[in-house]
Amino acid sequence: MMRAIALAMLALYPRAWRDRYGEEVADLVRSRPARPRTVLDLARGAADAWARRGRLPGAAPMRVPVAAVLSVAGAALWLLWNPGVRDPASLHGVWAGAAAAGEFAGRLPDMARGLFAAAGVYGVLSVAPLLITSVSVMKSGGQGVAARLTARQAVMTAPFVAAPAALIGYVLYGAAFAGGGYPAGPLGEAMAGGFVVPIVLALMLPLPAIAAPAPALAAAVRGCGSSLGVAAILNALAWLPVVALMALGLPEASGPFVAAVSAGALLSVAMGALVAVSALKHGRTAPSLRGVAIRPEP
Amino acid sequence: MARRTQELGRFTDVALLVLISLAEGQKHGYRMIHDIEEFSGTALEPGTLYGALMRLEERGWIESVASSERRKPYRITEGGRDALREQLATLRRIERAGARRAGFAWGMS
Repeated sequence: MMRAIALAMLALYPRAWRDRYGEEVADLVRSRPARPRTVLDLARGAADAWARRGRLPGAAPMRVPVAAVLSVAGAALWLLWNPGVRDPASLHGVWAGAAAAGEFAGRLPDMARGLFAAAGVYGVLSVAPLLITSVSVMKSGGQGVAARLTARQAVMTAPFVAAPAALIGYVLYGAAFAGGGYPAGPLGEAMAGGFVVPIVLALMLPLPAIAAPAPALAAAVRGCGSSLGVAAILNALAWLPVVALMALGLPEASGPFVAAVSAGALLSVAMGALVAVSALKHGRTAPSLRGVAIRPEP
Repeated sequence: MARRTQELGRFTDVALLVLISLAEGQKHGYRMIHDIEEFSGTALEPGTLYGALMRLEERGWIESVASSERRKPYRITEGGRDALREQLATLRRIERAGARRAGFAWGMS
């Protein structure tokens, strides 16, 4: 029984390790008494082998799907915003400290809100040309079946992207412009977009990913990538007024508040950058129509 | 040697035992475990042994020997012998210092 468990532990090791040492260790386990400590030792060895996986001969680099990274980052941003940043004493204290610095500080929240809103709108609009092209390819008899199916898939996916994006946009509007739901004050309203816009940008990513294989949609996919890149830059720029406000009112901020805002800003910028890089990559790998013969269907 | 083996972490002692075991000739995992238990009293488990073998192979201190047998033997390399010599010299210095400070005289009860 214990031997069977010990042998089963070998499945926990990385494939490259099993290819290199698996048979030897299995033979060793079969030829010696197996005890609970043998099982624990193999489990510990598996963790060690995973930690050193990159050094194993023949080990392929580990690939974490972008969608998984973005999902985790999006959830983390949401948690950093609420409850992380929602510290009324710090939000209002920092704002009061910053506002006392002069008229310029009073303009910073509007600057941040405007840039975040522009980033969100630009991100959402980035897929509009792609969808228009997809509808046109879908209806065109001059395109191949594969192109029409890809275009149709992109169009059918759009509502599933648009619905959550609209909901998140509504939340952002309420938090940043309508003062709804929570007394976050000017500082909270200024930074709310930074916690929401990257999620909206990430929601757009499935559309260029779906459309990328169709040469007829390649130009639109590239355009979408560039637009998401601009949106990510706007999102990063929007954090600058927030950083300035935080710096001006820093003595009034609690430690956890500063940590949550700093982590949120870094994660927001990184997430926007990841979305932009992924979208641009789809654009680069999309097959161009040039040199590709498109045979109309009979 | 102490500096070179520092990055072996918890496998430093096991790696030394493996190098000592292989110093007298090539062995496969099963024989290594028995040999090490015999000369040191340390009963190694397979996960620990192969964690050490993986590190020693990475450093080029041991290498596997092509064999038609089911059990793959390993042998110590010249680099491995140098590493072993250094580490044994370090242990010798430690042993002398310890014995001198504690007032032990080996061979006398």
